[in-house]
Order: sequence, then C-alpha cells, then structure tokens
Amino acid sequence: MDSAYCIQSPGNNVLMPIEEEQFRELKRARKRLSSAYAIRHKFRLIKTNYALIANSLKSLGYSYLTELTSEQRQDIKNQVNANVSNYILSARTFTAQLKRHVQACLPQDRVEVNRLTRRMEIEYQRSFAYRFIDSLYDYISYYGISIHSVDVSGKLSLNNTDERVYEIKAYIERAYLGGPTDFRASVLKEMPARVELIELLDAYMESLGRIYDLACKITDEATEQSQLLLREFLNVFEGVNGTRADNLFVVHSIGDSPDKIYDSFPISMYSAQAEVYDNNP
Amino acid sequence: MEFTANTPISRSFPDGYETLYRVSYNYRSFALLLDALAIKSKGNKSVELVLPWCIYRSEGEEIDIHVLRLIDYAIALLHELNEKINHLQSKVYLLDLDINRCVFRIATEQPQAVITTLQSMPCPEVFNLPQIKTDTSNPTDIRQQFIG
Repeated sequence: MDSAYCIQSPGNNVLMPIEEEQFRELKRARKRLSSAYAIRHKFRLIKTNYALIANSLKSLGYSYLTELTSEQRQDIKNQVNANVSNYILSARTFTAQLKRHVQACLPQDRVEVNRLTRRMEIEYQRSFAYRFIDSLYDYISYYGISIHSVDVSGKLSLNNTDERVYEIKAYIERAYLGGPTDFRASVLKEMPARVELIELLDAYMESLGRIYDLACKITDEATEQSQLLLREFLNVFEGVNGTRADNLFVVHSIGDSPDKIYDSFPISMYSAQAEVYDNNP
Repeated sequence: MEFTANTPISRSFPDGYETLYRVSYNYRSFALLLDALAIKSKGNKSVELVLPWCIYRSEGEEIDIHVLRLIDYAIALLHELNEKINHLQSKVYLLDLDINRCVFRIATEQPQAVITTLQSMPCPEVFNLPQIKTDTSNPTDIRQQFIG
C-alpha cells in the first residue's frame, strides 16, 4: 500500500500534499521543538509552583492570627503541602529528563550534552540546597508531607501604626526525616537541625537557573533552525491555500483514503508558541 | 515570606512588642518580645515570673483556638504588670507561653523592688501558684537566646 504525506487543516478541510523527505524533516523539527519547549515548560512549572507556595504560606501565617475553624485551617495547610509537593515533583521532572530533552535537540552532539551533565554534577557537589531537594523528593513521594513546623513573627509596621508586618518561616526538621532508608543518609548527616523552606528554595532556584540557562544556550541554535523550517512550510501552506496556518497537522496516511492515518502530529502550536517565547524570554 | 495584617483584624498586640508564634506537631508557643534598644533603656537585670495555667483545653476545642485564648489572658496581665512596675522604670521584655505555662521576664535595675511589687499583686484566677526568680544573665542575652 502506498504512503501519502500531507499538511492538513482539520478545521476547514484543506489539505496540502508533501514529499516523504519533507515529512521526515518536519517530524525531526517537531521532535526537537517539543523537547526544547518541554525544557521551558518544565522550568515555568517550577517557578509557578514557587509562587503558589509563597501565596499559600502567607495564608497559613495569617491563619494563625485569626480564629478560623479547624476545617478552614486544615484546607490552608493542605494547600501549602500540595504546593510544596508539586514544586519538588516538578523540579524532579525537570532535572530527571533535561538531558534527554537536550539530547533530542542535538542528536549528533555528545559533547554539549556532557557539558550539561557536568554542570548538574557541579551543582550537586556545590549546593546543599540542590542535594537536599534531590533527597527530599524520596521523602515526599514516600510520606506525602513536606513541612514539619512554622514560625510566624511580626512587628509593627514602620509607616502605619495599625498594621503589623509578619514573616512566616516554614521548616523541614531533621528529627522527622527519620532513618537513612527514607532520606539519603549522606545528606541527612550534613543537614542542620532544621532547614527553612524559602531559603532552601531560593538557593535551589539559583542552581536550577544556571542549569536552565545552559540547556537553553545549548539548544538555542537547533531550536531556531527547526522554527525556521516549520515557518517555511506554514508560509507555503498559507500562500497556496490562502488560509491562515492555524492548527495544522502533518499526516502520514496509507492507501488512497486519507482516513487511514498512520502518523499525525501538530505543527502550528510550535510556531504560535515560538512567538510567545520570543516575546517573553 | 512577609505579609501584613491590620491589628484590629488579627489580634490586638501591644505596641512596641514583636510577636513570635511557633507551630509544630502537638506543640504551640507564642512570645512577645521588646526590641533590643528598648530593653537596654530599662535595665540590665532580669526578673522571671512563671505562671502555670489552670485552664485547660476543653473537649473538642482546637489547639490553635485554645492558644489564642491563652494569648488574650497573657496580654491582659502584661498590661497590668507594666502599669504596676512602670514607676520603677521596669518593663516586661519577654512574654513566652505554651499550653502549660506563661513566663514573664522583666528588665529592671531594681529587681528587689520589682519582686516586692509582684508579690503584692493578686494572681489572676486563670493561673496556678506563680514562681518568682531573678536571672543572672542580662535581658538582652536572654532575648537573643530565646529567638536562637
């Protein structure tokens, strides 16, 4: 049975045939772009989870100053725990798959991927926060909790006598982290009696930021080339069909009927996102 | 993480004092602390008043609500103490409570006069028999130790 390749707009039933070689090129570009975007998406997940932690911590601090029902207070505690867990899990999703994503962008280049590996090793060696969060993943995925105690301190605001400025600190305590089976022994050993969450995350974000910057730098060229290739096809599609290249898919079908789809993947989403990312680096 | 709250919305904490609320599993503590400069102006000696609570958590009462109730009693007594020892240029610089007891520490240059004043005051009925002692460390150090 013969294979047929085309770019298709499912919305208005427009179809543009392409060659097999072009199909392969597009598929390669799409693979690279999806990996390059995955790196960025995952880093944003971490940053957004950080912002959620900051918000829910403030609510928790406030809750200890007011007479809430135990259900209300429990809701806020659950939110803090959920946000911290999501942060740690999203950080693991980022670090565990980063090399794979970078490799997908640069399939021929071992040297650059090794550079990234080295960078991550350096962060692990130099940063207690990096080691600690790497180990905390095991604890959280086993027990489902993250924070053991909080301090809420407050003083009168300097510019408004009715207002107090409070600070909430959330701690992970060594005494609760337990034996070496639940938490990496070497990291437990170097840990102080308690670790303040936000200080920890700030230090960790610096490490992640360096790793992320390097990953972007390594993949920037391949990303740009793939975007250009994709853009070319979208432009041709627009020129030939006189329609905007929104929501297009590349399709590999078998036989005469285009319904017998062997492979299909979206391309417009990468172009649209490319613009978003270019405007908001 | 910093946040602000109006005192009428939260608790009405006395002016000049910083607050510290500590929360852990099965443990709550609350403290009011005078800032280091204000302590120095009151004196170099420390008198400690320890008051065990004789009100207990009632059945079903949430610990955080119970602690808020204790804080209200403690702050009422704080105001009364400060009023009584004001003429001795002395002031409570550290109030520290948990569900078992409440400790007032007073910065002064005249510990004996403060103790006499304390002994003449009636003990509020929410407390059991108080203990009064002097502390050899100076108030600034005690404060520093407390916040750790």
